[in-house]
Amino acid sequence: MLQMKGISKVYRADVVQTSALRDFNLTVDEGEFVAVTGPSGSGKTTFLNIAGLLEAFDAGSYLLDGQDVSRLGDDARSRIRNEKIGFIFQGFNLIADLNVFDNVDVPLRYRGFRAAERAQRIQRALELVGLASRGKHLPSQLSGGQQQRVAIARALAGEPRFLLADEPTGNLDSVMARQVMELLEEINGRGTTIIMVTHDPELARRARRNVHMLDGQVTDFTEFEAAIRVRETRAAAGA
Amino acid sequence: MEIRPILSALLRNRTGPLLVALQVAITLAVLCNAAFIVQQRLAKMDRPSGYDEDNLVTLQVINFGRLPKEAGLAAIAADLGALRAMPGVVAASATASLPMSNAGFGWGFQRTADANDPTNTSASLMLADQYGLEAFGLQLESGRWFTPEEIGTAADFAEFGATLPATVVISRALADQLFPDGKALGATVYDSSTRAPATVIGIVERAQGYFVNNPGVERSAFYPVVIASGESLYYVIRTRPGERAAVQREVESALLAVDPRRILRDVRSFGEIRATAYQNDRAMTITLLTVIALLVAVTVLGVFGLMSFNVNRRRKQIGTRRALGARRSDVVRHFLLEGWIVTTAGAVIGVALAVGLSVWLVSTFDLPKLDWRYLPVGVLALWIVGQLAAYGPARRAAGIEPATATRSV
Repeated sequence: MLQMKGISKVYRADVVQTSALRDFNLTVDEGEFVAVTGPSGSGKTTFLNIAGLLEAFDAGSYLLDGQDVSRLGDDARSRIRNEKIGFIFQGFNLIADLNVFDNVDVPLRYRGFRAAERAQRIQRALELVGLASRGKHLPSQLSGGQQQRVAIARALAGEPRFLLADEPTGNLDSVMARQVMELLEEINGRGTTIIMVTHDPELARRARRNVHMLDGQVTDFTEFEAAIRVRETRAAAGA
Repeated sequence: MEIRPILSALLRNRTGPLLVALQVAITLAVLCNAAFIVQQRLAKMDRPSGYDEDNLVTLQVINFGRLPKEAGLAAIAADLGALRAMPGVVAASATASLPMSNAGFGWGFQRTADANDPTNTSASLMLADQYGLEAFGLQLESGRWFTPEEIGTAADFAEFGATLPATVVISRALADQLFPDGKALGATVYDSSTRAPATVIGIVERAQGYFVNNPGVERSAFYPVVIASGESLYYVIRTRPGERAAVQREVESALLAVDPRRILRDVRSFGEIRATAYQNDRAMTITLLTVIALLVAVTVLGVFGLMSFNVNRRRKQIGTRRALGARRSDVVRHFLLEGWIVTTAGAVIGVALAVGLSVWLVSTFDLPKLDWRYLPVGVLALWIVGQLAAYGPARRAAGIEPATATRSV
């Protein structure tokens, strides 16, 4: 489904160079639910951007759904993003001036579906996230959890092969975060591959597989687990 | 088409778009009416006069004191002889005032001697000798010009008024006005104040009268008379093509050689007379074109500013759209469409404003009613201008990277 080999990405600003990914290797199979964790600055977002074809990389190879995407032009990358990838952002990234229905409609319009089909897909996606009755609402009229569910509906409406979620519960309280996670698990249960970037170990545990990143590379996850246990033990002792 | 969601988004942030739409509306209203007025002024200034303008030189002679009739006639004959002898001169003639000069006689003609004849028509009355046709470069459409025997003389205007000539040459416009049946040549026309008759012996194709702002400027008549007193004496000199400037330079010397004891003034080409005649129209045209240019420029800035503001305000949104699959061309199209919607909303209001402004101009300044074809042309022009203004910001929006969607700032 997703195969990255030896990916590197360097950001250059004037004389400063920052290596965000270094010889990054990751394979994700179809139907997996992978959580990518790591501290701030470890390269999680860069990985997500490259995985989602939001930005280019400097070296390595990347096969997405069996297709080498490293040399694709901008239009072809846009098409793949539109057809195969669904995005869920930490800040929801809903368009404030559009109602729920029109927000979910955004990627479908770029897909070129006819109005009737778009309406059908939007309805289905909103039903899946439990917001079928809120089509006319503006994002500002919804709670954070509801907004994220709208974003999930938007990501799902085009029936993508996999979802990329960037801290999907980062802006939600624990109750809403649990609801969103349950929804993602349900979506994964239906066969959609999910890669979720998070720094929340609790959420990461709910994924089927965890990948820990440090300094732009995948590290041994057992070290991460051990670190979490140490932190939890200290916390319990402190309490 | 994405019109509905874009429109609903615009309506949620309506102040900026509304102001720009109003700006477009005002621009369209002024643009259509001003362009219409400009076109009318240009057409007016471009009217042919009927005279060989490129090759004419004119001047006024002012004598010191009034000349006796015989002396006056002799002086005029001597002057015309000297002028005709100048190299490059084709013909020269004396007249009492110059066409298109905004000074001259308005005269009434009618088909009968009846005091209440409804055919009474005003015209510019010009006086000419037997050389007038050639000197002015007029095109004789039918009939003939005056013979030397027909040229009358008058000591002054009082004598002229008391002894009007029996023949007249009229312009086609006057002939059509007096004789819609087309039978002007050979007909008798009457001076509307003294009811003196005159036979129409010739019709010239065109000879504009004195007052270019008068709707009847095309109606003119020539009487075969030379006024001897020199009260109002002009010479019209026609040159061979290309020799006008040289004749214009030398004409004063030639005439002063005949008699230095007088003033020669306003030695001008006919082009200068035309320029003076239409100077108000030209000033109005330039003013209106400047107003149009300024309004269009302000509108361009308005649309550009609104679009630039929207692009800057929506960087994250644009990045999100790109992440969700929008191509660069989709983003460009989105903002062009947004600009088009604002321009079109303004145009709809502007059409109504343009019509209203036209009605006001018609009723207040007695201007012609706005030609409706200016409205679609004006709308089209503003659409193009609006799209050009929106294109820069739209291109800038298309350059926003999709990764902007995942950035926190």
